[in-house]
Amino acid sequence: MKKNVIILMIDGARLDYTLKSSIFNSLKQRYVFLSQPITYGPHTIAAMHAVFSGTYGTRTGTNSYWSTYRFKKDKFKTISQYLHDENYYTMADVVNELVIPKQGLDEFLIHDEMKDDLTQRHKSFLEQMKSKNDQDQNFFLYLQYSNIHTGIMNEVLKVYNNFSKEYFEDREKNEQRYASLFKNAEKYVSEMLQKINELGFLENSIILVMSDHGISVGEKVGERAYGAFCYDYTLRTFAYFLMQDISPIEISQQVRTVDFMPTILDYVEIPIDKNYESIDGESLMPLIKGEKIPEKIAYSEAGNPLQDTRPPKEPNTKSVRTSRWKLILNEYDDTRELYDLFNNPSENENLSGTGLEIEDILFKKLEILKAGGKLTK
Amino acid sequence: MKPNIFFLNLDSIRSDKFIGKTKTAITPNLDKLIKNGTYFSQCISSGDGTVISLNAIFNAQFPFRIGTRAETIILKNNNCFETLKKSGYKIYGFVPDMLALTKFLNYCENENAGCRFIRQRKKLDIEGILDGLGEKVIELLDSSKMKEPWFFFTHAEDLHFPLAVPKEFDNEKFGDSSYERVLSALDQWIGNFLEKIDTSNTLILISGDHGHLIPFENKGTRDFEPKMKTGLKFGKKIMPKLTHKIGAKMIIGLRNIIRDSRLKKANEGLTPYQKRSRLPHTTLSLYEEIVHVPLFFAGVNIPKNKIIHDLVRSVDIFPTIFNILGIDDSTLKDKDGRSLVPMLEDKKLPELSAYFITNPHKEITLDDKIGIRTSKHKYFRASIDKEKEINLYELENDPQENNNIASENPEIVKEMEGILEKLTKNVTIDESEKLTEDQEKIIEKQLKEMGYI
Repeated sequence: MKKNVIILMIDGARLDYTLKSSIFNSLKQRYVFLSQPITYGPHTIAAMHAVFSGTYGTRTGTNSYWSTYRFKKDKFKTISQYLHDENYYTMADVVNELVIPKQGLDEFLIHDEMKDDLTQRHKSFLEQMKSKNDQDQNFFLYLQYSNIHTGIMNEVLKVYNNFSKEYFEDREKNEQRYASLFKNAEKYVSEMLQKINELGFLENSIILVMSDHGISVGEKVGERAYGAFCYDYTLRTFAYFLMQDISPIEISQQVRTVDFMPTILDYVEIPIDKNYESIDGESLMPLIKGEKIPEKIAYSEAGNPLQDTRPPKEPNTKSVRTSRWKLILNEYDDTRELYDLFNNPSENENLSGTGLEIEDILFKKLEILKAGGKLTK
Repeated sequence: MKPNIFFLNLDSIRSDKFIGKTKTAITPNLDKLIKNGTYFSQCISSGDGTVISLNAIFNAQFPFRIGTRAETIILKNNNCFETLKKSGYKIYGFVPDMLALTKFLNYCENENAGCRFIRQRKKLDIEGILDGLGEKVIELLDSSKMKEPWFFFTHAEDLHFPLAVPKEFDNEKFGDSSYERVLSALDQWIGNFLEKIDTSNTLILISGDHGHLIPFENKGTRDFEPKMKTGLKFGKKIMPKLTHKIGAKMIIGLRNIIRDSRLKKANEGLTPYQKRSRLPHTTLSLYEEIVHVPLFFAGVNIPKNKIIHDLVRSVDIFPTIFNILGIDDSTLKDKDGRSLVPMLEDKKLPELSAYFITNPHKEITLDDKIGIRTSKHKYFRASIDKEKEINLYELENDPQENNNIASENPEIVKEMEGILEKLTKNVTIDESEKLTEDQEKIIEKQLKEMGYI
């Protein structure tokens, strides 16, 4: 039998909070920890369509809040389809019908983020999968933990706008709010992993614990939550791959969240289907096994609503990133930002226009990637 | 009963080698057929590669609607084969058995529709008409296995690089170049196919996906390489194994230096057309020798001995077939192609520009081009930068595109860029990208619920 696949997606979980968390740190000691995955889109819809297809939204069509139905299902095969084609039972439980592509899912469930107890609900799905697994049925289970979003929606999105003084001037309050929401997420992860262990899935499954994007706690005026800018507090995420037969390893090299899908397929030995368009992601299995692979440039894009109350239909803020550098192109006013992430991780000192050669190099890469092109090594 | 359709698609066929003064192949069967049908002398393909070009033909859409980076055949929900099927047609044919074309194979009723296509290292082993495909076609046409009305499509690779000229045709009298000698050899098979077809009840169609470089004086880049096999063998014998890789690299480097120097000398005094004819066949190109393809119709409802010189495009092929045969193609949404039937009836149609794009490299560079052709001008430029690699040719006086007149004609460049922009502006890559009102309402509702609006 092949390995089962479980993804616990902690919507809006920030990397810096996981690094301070004893629960997440205990995972780090026992499994594969990636501390520098870069999301394609700093909001769930674009981010997760990219993860499911292993491809940037510049090519799949899902590049904004508005583009779920534009996903080119005839050109890009999702991880659910791959696993479904291999006779996996495929099931997802998500916050609404827009957040992931439905293709290949046997069951597509939507929870009520305001009412449902996600821990109990998701545990019951694990039990359902256990009974399937006992009958020699492989499964793929994608579970979105949406309660960080729920809190942010109620206490931030509905209360403040992207320029509210009272929000940006009270960083401490923002951090406390987030810390409280994150604590609940920790509890969820802890209980879910306990259940996963009890059901014996640690032995026969690959489990990915990941975040789709981070969330602002008031770092930059103009973005009260996420989806508007391309700064690291939303782009840089984390991932834990729980694979019993792989030694624990911390990978600090930059990777892309589009690499997750080919990594999982590689692990469960399912080849990429050449009948579909090629994907942007690459398997991280060599890296996970301790080999070296060259770092890839990560491309991301967001839709800055500016003064509007609705997110734009097309991305207008685009970035390319290496471990060291980030170049952001703000298309709405044709400005650029260049940051040295080693020396200025908070991205406050814009080096664009200071004559650094890297700016031109990155700009050329950005031009290619935003046009849906591919970079060679 | 609806008429049958026989569509022979010759990979790499050039219009100027199919008919006309510059053709030196000996093709009595083809010549006879051309007299019995209508030839479009100015048909432009949508790209310089097979996949990009066939996608445009099969969907009757330009590549920007289908996917300019497609590596495999993309057949949209409402593609031309679906239209044929809905009209009761059974689809048969042969195409190379390669992943890129698998989606067409799925439509074929015949079992052995995939032809041998093996790529080993740099060599290709392809089953062309001259290597067994011809017999397969005859066998199927002969077998009565095809249920009428049938649509038969064959994509033959004989004219694609590397060319294998049958011994009996490898002679000056069958053409000036290997390319034309292969075409002479193919003619016999075209004659054989025609014998098996009831032309009174069949629409016959011959076209191609893109053209081909035919090296000036039959000497391409590789012909200028010095032979270094003996040196390599000797080096391998005397040098330790560890040094083989670096040694081979050095020898290849030296070989390329000698080749380039020889080529430079041999190219002295040649025209740009002649020089570029010697480039490797993989060179990205939107010049006429690559995008100007034949388009020929014969049989049912087709005027005889007629040549139409108006500009047409490969995307027009299927809409024309459908119109000739009275097939309803209303399900083909957003098609760029149009029926050429009025032209067959001597009616003038307003000219529509041809759009084309090169087969994309993995990393898009300035070699990747995009452009527009009218009957008067050819315009192309770097696909990622409209300010770079700008080419403009005046086709009537310069059919071989030797003089780039872009810098002296900024107004025409602007006009052509305007046509290109207008054509591609606000185009969503496929129908699924367009949101219906209901979809927009659903999204809006959900975004509101999630606090984003």
